Amino acid sequence: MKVLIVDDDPHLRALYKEEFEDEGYEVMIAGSGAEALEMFEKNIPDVVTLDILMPGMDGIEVLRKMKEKKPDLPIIMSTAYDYRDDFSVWASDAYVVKSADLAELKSTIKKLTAK
Amino acid sequence: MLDFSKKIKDANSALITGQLSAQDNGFHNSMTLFAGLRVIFQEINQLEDGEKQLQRLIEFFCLELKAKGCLIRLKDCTGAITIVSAVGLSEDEIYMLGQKSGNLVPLKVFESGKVVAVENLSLSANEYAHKGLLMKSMVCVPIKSAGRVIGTIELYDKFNIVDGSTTVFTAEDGNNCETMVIIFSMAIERALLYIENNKIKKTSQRTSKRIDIFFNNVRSAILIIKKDLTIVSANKAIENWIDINYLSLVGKNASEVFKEGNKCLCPQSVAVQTFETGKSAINNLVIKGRYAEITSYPIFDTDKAGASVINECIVMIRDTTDRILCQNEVMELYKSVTQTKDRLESLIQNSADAIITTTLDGNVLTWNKSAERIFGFTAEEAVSSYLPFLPNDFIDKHNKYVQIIKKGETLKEIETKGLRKDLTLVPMSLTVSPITDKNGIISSVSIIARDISRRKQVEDELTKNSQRLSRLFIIGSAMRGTLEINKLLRMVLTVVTATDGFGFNRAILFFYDDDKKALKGTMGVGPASYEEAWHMWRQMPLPSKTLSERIYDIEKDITEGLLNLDEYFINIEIPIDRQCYLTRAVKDRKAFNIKDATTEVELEPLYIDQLATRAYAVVPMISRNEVIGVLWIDNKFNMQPITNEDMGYLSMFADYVATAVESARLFEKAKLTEKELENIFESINDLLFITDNKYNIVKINRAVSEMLNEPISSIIGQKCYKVFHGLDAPSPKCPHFSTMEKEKPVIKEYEGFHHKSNDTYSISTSPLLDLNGKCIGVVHIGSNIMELTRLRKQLSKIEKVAALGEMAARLAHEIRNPLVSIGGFARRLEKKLSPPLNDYARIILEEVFRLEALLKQTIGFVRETKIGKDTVDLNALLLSVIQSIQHTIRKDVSIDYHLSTQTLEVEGDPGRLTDVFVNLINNAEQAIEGTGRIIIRTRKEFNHAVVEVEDTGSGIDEQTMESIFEPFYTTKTTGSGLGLTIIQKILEEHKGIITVKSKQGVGTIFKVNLNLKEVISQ
Repeated sequence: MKVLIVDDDPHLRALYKEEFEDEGYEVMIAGSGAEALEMFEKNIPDVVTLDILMPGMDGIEVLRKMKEKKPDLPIIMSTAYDYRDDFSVWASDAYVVKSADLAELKSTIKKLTAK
Repeated sequence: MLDFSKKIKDANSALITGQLSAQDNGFHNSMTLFAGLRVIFQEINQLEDGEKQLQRLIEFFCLELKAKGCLIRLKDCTGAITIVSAVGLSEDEIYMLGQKSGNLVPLKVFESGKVVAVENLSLSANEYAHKGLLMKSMVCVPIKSAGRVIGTIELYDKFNIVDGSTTVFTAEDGNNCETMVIIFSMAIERALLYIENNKIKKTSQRTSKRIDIFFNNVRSAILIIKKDLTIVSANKAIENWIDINYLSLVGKNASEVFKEGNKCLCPQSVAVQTFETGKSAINNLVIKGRYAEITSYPIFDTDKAGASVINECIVMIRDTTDRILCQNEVMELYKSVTQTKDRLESLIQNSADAIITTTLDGNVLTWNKSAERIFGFTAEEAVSSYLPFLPNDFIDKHNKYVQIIKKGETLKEIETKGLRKDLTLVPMSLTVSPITDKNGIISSVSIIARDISRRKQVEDELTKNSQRLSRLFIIGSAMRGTLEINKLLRMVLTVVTATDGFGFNRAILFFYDDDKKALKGTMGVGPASYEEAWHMWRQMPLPSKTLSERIYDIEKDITEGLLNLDEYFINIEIPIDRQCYLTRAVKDRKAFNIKDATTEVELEPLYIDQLATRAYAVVPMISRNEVIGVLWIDNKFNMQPITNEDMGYLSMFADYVATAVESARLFEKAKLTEKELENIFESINDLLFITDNKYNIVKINRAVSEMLNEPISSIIGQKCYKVFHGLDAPSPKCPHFSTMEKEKPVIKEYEGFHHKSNDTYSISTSPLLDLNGKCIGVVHIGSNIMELTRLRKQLSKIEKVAALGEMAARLAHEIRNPLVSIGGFARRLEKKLSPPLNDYARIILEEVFRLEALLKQTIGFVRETKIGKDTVDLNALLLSVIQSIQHTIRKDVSIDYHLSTQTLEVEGDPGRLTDVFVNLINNAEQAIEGTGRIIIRTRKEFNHAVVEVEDTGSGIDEQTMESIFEPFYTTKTTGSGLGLTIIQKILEEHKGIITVKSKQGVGTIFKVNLNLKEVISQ
């Protein structure tokens, strides 16, 4: 099971990588939208977590591009701020507010990958 | 008296002296006497001059008869007696003796033929002494020839030869003297003959000299020609005609010198005639442009036998060119004068004016044709009678005029009346002027009388017209002052029908309605029938009021019982395409005067049936080049014909009316607009007021009055700065002030605009400019923006909050990320570390959680429920959606809706639900290619509210059907592909579902199910 983590914060990427690898996932990490799409092309993950607010291409655009390619791929929006007023994020499969407690994120991934 | 004795002594010969000495004793010795006589005779004979002979003779007489003086008088052939010679007498004495008083004695001697001796002259004839003549005695002896006294010899004062003293002549001396005269009479006669011959010689010399001068200087050429045509003599003037020296002509034959011929100078031919006839002959000819008159005169001579013969004749050639030219000129002049005279006469005869000449007493001398025509008297009747055309009452005046004329003045264009033969009067204009004869004396009078009856008529006409025009003008000004259209129309019709207006019997106004394309009867006045007419005129036998008074009454709404044709014609409509004069007046823009409607093809039953008229006129009313209506008039009742003049005035009037009506209509429109504006002005909630350019409030609306809490009337007229700001002068803070200064609109927010309130007003001031661009006031619009200000403040607060929120969100993001890292790694540490270190990690983790909770709490960025909990009436919501979307839908797509009669209330967010249906309808529209329908239905199914959006589009194939709800899936070239995904999400949040049914080529139905509110609450 491959998880693609997209976040511009290197510490968070490190945390997520360790945590999800502990959970038994194969973890891919990308520091920007562009890097994420590049990886996505080469190696299609089973689930994606996307930060919204990133320099350069933001998470919403990445979400759109990925959904265009692979509408079935579950994508979780993981963000520090609530963007759910924005229609565009509605295309994502889940929305998780970042927290030091990663339990919600983990359960969401588990739920989505279980389908 | 001269001392003659001495002279004799000195001058005379010794012989005589000797004789004289011997004479002391008288004539005793005859021998001596004869010798003396011989001497003296010889002496006298030697003298050739007769006068000198006489002189010598009387000297001898003096000597011999011892007289101091002697003279000789002679009577000539005319009988005049003159002193021929004198001696021993002074010139004065000779002069005296030549006078009447001095020749008394000689005259007696001439008469009597006898000797007279006077001893003392002073005794017998006083004059001698009186005249200062000192002679005392005299002897006068007659000189006789053939028994006739031809002269006298007088001796004066005998002197004494011894002492020289004077003695008297005696009778003896007289006898002696007589004897001597007899002796010397022959000598005297001879001397007289000498004198006479001399005289004749002198005269003939002089005459011949004169003739020569005349002959050679006369301008006419003169020839003397003999019978054989030899030229005897020629004068210099002949050289004017022939190129030969005149002297050389003499002796030549005329026929050789002058060529015979028609155009040649030929004096001989005239001369030949004279020689043949014995009479003078004449010939005229033209030679090289010169006229010549050749005349020959015979010279009579006597032949030896005493018969009269003509041997020579004089030919005179006169250059008559000048004379003939002059004559021709005179002839021409005469001709032209005659012509002028003829013309003048014909002018006088044919002049349109009567031209009359009279004597100063007024007796007619000449009387021309026009005088005949104008006054009716023939020339025969008028001439030599006293001014027949003068009315009796004008005679005195005319006499006055004659007095003026006599002074040489002319009276011009006196307007008076002339009397015709038939005793009628004719208006005329007289011009009376004097006629002077060739000596400049005023001898007669000329009268030019012009018949001015035509002019008078025209003048009267003009006066009438000008009255009519001035009436029009009065009416016009009244009409101008009337802007109420009904009043105006009534005025118009009154003018047209009033006796002192146009005086037509009836008038109707039709107006053209451009929308209906028809003429519409608007108003009419006049009686409808004879009965009414009779009634009306009996009621008002005389117009009690003048037209202007009636116009005034109409203006003041004092109406008078006018008979109206309204009931017949009001609202009658004549379509413009119907052929009749009314419509033609509109179409052709022409007035028509229909003399007889019954013969006209273009009849209109209206006129015949309802108006029962035969003759009428229609006049278009044209304003600004548009026919706005037609004025119809007739004279049914008094049968007065409608003249062209009437038509002219009517046309003028109609145009005038059209303009007035147009302005009245405009005025009504303006009034309406004004009213509307007034309404707006009043009903507007903003403050609205107008000030003049002196800050006086001119107009305010209700809002102002309400704000100031004072009635409108007490505000108007006050200074605005006083009313609003409580000041005594304009405030520079007020935009009004700036507008007044710069004459430009100003908008300003003004806190405390009204001095009794702190409210802020937005004040807009605009200058009110007159037509010349001059600022005459200011329009103010003020609105209380207190509420706005409050809202604005709130908004800015919200904006601040929002900005804060944005910042907080960013901050949250920035904080949350490290918190997640800190917390996440702390958790990992907690797991990996053993006590007591794992506790430390757990404390860090807990603190992180606390911070996260704080973050979540303070910023509240995660909304627990994002869906509103409003009660939504689906039917109402759909109606408003349809309404708002309708205009964005293509025209070939229609929206039908069948909404349930039951109220379908659901709980939810109306905004979100609106989004759902807008999206569904938009999708439906896009599914339709070309024309089609969208059908919207609502109904209740069990405990659900159902909304169906159906389209008649192409439908969706099965393959597509599977992915239509997937995000970013789209079949369209535009769009995000999120539409259905979003709809599905919203509906999920509302616990609703969306399903789709589609058939290709038929259409698609999206069905939305939502829980009804009752169900939820249950």
